[in-house]
Amino acid sequence: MSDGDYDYLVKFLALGDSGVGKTSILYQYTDGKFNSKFITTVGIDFREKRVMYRPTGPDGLSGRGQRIHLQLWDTAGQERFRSLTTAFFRDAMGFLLLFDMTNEQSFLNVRNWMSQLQMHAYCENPDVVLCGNKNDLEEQRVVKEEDAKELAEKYGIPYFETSAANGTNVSKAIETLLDLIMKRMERCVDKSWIPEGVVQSNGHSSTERLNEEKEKSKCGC
Amino acid sequence: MLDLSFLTEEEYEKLLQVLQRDAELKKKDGDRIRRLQDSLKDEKKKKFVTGEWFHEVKAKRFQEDLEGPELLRVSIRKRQSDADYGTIEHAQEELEGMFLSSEGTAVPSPESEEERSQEPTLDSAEGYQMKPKPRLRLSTLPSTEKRSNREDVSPADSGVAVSPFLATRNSSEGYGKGHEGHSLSSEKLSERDPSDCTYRAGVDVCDGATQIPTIQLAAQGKTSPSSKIPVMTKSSKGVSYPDTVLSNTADKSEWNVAKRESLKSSKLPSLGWENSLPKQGGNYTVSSLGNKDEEISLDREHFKNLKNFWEKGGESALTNDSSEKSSEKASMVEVNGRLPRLRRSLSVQSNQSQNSDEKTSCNVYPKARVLHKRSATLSSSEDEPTYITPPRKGSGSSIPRSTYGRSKGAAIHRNTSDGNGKQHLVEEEKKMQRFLRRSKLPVRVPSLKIESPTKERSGIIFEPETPADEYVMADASKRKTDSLVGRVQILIESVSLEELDQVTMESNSETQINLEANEELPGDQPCDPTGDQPRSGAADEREAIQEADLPQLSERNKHRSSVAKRLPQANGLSLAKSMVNLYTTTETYSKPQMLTQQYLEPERAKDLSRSTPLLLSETESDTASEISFQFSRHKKSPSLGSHSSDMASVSSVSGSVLSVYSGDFGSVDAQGLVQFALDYDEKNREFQIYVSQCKDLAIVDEKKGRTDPYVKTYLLPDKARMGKRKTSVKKRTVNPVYNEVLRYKIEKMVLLIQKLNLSVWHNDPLGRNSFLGEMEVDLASWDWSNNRLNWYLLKPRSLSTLNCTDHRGVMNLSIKYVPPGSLGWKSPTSGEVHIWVKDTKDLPQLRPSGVDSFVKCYVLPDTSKKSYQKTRVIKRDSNPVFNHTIVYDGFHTEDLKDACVELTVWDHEKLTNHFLGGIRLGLGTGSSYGIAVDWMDSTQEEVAFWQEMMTTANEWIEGTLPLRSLAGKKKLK
Repeated sequence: MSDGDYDYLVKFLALGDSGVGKTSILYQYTDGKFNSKFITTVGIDFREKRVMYRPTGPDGLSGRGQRIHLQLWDTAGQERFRSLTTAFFRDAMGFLLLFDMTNEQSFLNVRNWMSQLQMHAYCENPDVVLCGNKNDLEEQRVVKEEDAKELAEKYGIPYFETSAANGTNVSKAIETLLDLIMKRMERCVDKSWIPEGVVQSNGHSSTERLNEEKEKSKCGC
Repeated sequence: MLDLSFLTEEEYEKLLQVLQRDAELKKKDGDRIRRLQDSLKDEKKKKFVTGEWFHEVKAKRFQEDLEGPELLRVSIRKRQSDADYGTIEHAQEELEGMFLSSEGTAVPSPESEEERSQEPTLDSAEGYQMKPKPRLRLSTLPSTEKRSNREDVSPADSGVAVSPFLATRNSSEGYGKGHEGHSLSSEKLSERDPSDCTYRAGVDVCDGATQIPTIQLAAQGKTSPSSKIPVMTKSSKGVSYPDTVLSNTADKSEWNVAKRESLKSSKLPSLGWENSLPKQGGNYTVSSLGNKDEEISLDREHFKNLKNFWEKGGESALTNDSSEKSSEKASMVEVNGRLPRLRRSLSVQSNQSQNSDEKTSCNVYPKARVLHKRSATLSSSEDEPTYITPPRKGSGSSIPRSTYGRSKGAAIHRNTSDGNGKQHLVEEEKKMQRFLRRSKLPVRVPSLKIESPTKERSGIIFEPETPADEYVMADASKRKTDSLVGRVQILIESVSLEELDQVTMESNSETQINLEANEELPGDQPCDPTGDQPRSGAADEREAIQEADLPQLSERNKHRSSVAKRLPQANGLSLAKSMVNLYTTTETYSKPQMLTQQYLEPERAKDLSRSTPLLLSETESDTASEISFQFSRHKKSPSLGSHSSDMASVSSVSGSVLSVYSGDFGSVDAQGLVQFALDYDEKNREFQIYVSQCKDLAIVDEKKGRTDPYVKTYLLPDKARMGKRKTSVKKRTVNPVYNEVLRYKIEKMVLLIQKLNLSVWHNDPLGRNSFLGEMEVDLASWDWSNNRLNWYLLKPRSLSTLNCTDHRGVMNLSIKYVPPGSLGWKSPTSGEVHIWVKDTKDLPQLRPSGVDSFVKCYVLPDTSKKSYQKTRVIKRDSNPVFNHTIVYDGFHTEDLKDACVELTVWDHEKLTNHFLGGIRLGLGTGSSYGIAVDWMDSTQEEVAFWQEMMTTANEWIEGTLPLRSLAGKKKLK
């Protein structure tokens, strides 16, 4: 697993308020286990998982499977680690933004987290998947699904109701994120690829950029 | 740099483990990518697979910033260094090693590579490409010349040089030797870097001047192996040594060359490139010898470590050679810059500087190539004489050097320290010390030292003497070891020193310093001002500085010389001096630089970022500071000429904090009630004060029975920060009804650490307002569910708020006066005032994130930059420990009556610094040299403190003084 026999190293990062289940959801994803005890994360941690990715490109073709090595960064939700954790934002390719659907404040803070991401991620519009976690505690639920969906829509990001306890939607959320990343990657490479071949020098002309943009939108996902 | 002070040991261990795991993963991935790089032909696919695409995108945003793990590692390292280097460092170093290797393997952002190949080539010769390159580029001289000679590079091109370092070495020596020396670091580097190396090889060769340095580098490389071997034993540090040496030598060589050319010193010119090269090689060996020194003196290592941390902010180690270089350079730069400025504040610590270099170098190695790349790119920008050289944290560091002669000086210092032979020990030491002092490069070192002593000797009083001695010892040992090399170096050093001196002195034509150097160093005699010309950019700067300083220069020179003489004594004086942290000064300036880098010069930034996105961040703090220094110097130079203008510019800083109550012209007893309600509007993030009415207010004008009241609010403790809010004025009533809402746009979190100060005033048409009463609400304990109107009693003004002394905290410090002649034979020509700022306690917290404080120091009436010193910034600590010693010389005993040491504590923020409080040490007579001044307002405590110092010469006087508001002055920024 730790060998280098994979095709891609993809780095995700889970963020959200303290206690929303970031660690648990990653633990569930990587190990299929759940620990109901609350153990606060110290600053930063990560888990790894090897997955296969079968792209279903815009062309409808599904290429051969790619071996992906996932590095799943777990962050402390506590405020005191904030400067530490945000320093790791920039190194992640995609983000799992969690809130606790039994805790309204954690949902309200999604906005803050999004702005944090916009500030500290590798680009201004990184790929994010929003997860309303603790879906298993339906009776304690205070965040309405429609509100969450609305918010996710506002940001243009996918939303899943997950449960780290029973595994609901956990893999789906992460795999969706992976899909986003892989598609973005292709876009990025396509984009930078063209000018390199054509002009190859300092920056691209505006027209080139436009073309790139067009291409991007074409293959857009 | 992250502040990890809040972490417990356990947490910190956990983090280290995580980092280690990440390093392992990175390493594996690096291996994978390397394999792919070799096997994959499809560039597009390569980008996918290696993650380059991501690095590219990220680089657009974060250019030089470190990756999270690196940043954390660096931060941890720094923290450890602060705590105990010994054990932790080792672990960290190991970690770093892993990281470095992993980083090396990690796919550099494509852009960076490309750029590197291009840019570096432009600037530096092959040799330069190696670590030295950055420096060379930095040096203004080489830049122009470099491009012409590509041929020289050819050896490197041969492909031998995978890593820049290797290439240089190879070229110089013929590959064999160099490889050996590099074996550890180089091997790794070579594997990864080949592409880069080749690119660089293609790069232009520098002109004669530049070439020489390169050659020298090569020579160094040769020698380096030997040196490395010893180093190896010492661990990572040792390894890095050679690099540092190289860099140093390279820098030196550059400078020397330039100097030689310009100076026409007999030896240097004659030597020409070839000659110079071998000599430099000699230097190298010296450096290796330096390792021995380390072994000899444990303290050195400590100091080195400390220095490294300080200088590089812990990152230095990671950053590799370039960072080291940069930091060194920066330090040097700083020192140099200060020299002209501060005649008074002296920092002497040549040894330390050396140590720092060595230390830095050790860790740096692996990363060095990255740095090189960066530096190369940077250097190109740097070549420009302008200071602009955007002080990028990582990349920027190298730049500063090039522009300034200071870097030369620093290099010189290093050389001197490393290179002196045993024979010359005594003389050399003295010389060294002088040089150091002159260059002031050592200053940084002192700062490092300062901390170390305090930590090490925790309870013990800081005694400058011991440290100084230690340092001296270290130098001596180095010299011994290096004997042959030392000579060569000495020559070089002398030249460089001369240059430095020249720089400072150019306009002055006073060659006292130079002469001294010359005397010591035979080859140096011909210090022609013309020598400076080659460094066009630098020269201009210098000129400006010089012009400004001209009047002062002579004095300074004298001081320096005297200082230098004293230095050998290595007594408390030297320590104190050394303790002065130049470092800190840079901070303020760094900001503007940073801005320029990021926003003003995107291209450069890109280059920098591309070159080594990952590593760059490590050096950030250091480089930034360095860069900033240049900046500051720049600013200073003009300012020096006219103090008044200087003052004006400075004075605007934090505005009207003090003015809150200044307008009270009345003497009315507070009475009556005020009715208001408080609410926080979450939606608008707004604090709202609903002021309803007052009743039974005092009557101000008894005759007319008139009161025109209004209500005014502040948020304490920093009144100026959010400003005041006022209601309208109600005429002729003691029962005004307002029903107005005063609003503050403020985050709730911030609000909760504030106090609401609500006061009622009579508005006088002529501005002679009268205070009618006030009331304060601690918003932290406010019941926010209560948003109803309530009546509150108006109280008389609280003295605390009046004087702003309530929340300002206290400062622990010691001061000492060393009268002229008190030290016997090598008596100073003037007295010195030593100020040891130990710590401050209970600083007000203006922001939820805590207070990032630092201390500024002026000796009034002198408000020029040369009078200005400051400590480093201690982040997020309301009880910061500075342990910073500042020495002002030029004091005669009678001056103590008319001078005033002003220490102010500031909260350091990105765009502005906020005044927290200060003290003024003086006699509080209200006048200075017969002129009435408002700043001569020392409190009784302060006066007593000062008087005790005056009466008890040569002894530290300890004191704890409350910080207060300082009226009427310029809070110099």
